[in-house]
Amino acid sequence: MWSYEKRLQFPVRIKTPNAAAAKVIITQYGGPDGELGASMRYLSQRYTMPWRGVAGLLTDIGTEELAHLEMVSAIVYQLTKGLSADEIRRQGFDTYFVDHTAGVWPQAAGGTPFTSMCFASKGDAITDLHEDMAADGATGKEQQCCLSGSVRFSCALARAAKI
Amino acid sequence: MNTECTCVSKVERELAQLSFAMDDLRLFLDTHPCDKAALAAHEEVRARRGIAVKQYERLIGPVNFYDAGGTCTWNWTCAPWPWETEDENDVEL
Repeated sequence: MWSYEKRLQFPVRIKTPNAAAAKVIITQYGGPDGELGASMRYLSQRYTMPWRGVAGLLTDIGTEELAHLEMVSAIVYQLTKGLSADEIRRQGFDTYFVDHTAGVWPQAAGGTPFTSMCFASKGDAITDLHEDMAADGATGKEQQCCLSGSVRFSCALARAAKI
Repeated sequence: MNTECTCVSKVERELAQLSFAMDDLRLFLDTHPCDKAALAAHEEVRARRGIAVKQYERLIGPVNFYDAGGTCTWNWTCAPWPWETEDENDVEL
């Protein structure tokens, strides 16, 4: 089981909402390399991990990914708070807003809903560990990509959330 | 008011740092269970985190839901949730 701690792993205090940034950052919540997929990956793979220490590691990493998930969703929540209809339109958040208003929902930046097809659990230790390493590389790449152009700001936040 | 704000964020930061140190040490120890230096570091940080949790509970409220309670008022839902912003108020049921 799990027991909830009433704190974020790292505090999130956003002063200025920015829906354009939220549209990008939400992919770290429910996108193919997001925290939801990450936590489900490790927590699913642990059952067939033959080494007790590594099964513990998967449990503890999967748990920490849930803490990351909470930070990212807090970022999205705070970035989209109290926006006017005009701001929602101008910041390109209307396509999300029409379906969810300001509710936090796991999707990729392009709007694809979260899917468990973004991770594997094959019941084979070597296969699963390789998949874990690929996933870690993909997350790093996603954060690196964000560092260019107009999304530099969004990514600084996404990286902060990955501490 | 200002002093209290500084104090709250200091206690919050300290708990985050000590917890993070424990989170990392735990991952290392999962696969290096006999590493004496890591075990000693874990014990040291665990003791310091215990003090930080007590300070946090005194100033803000319970951290873990097993430590929630109260004689007149249930304290688990008194303090804001961690995702809330400063301008948020509770709504009466």
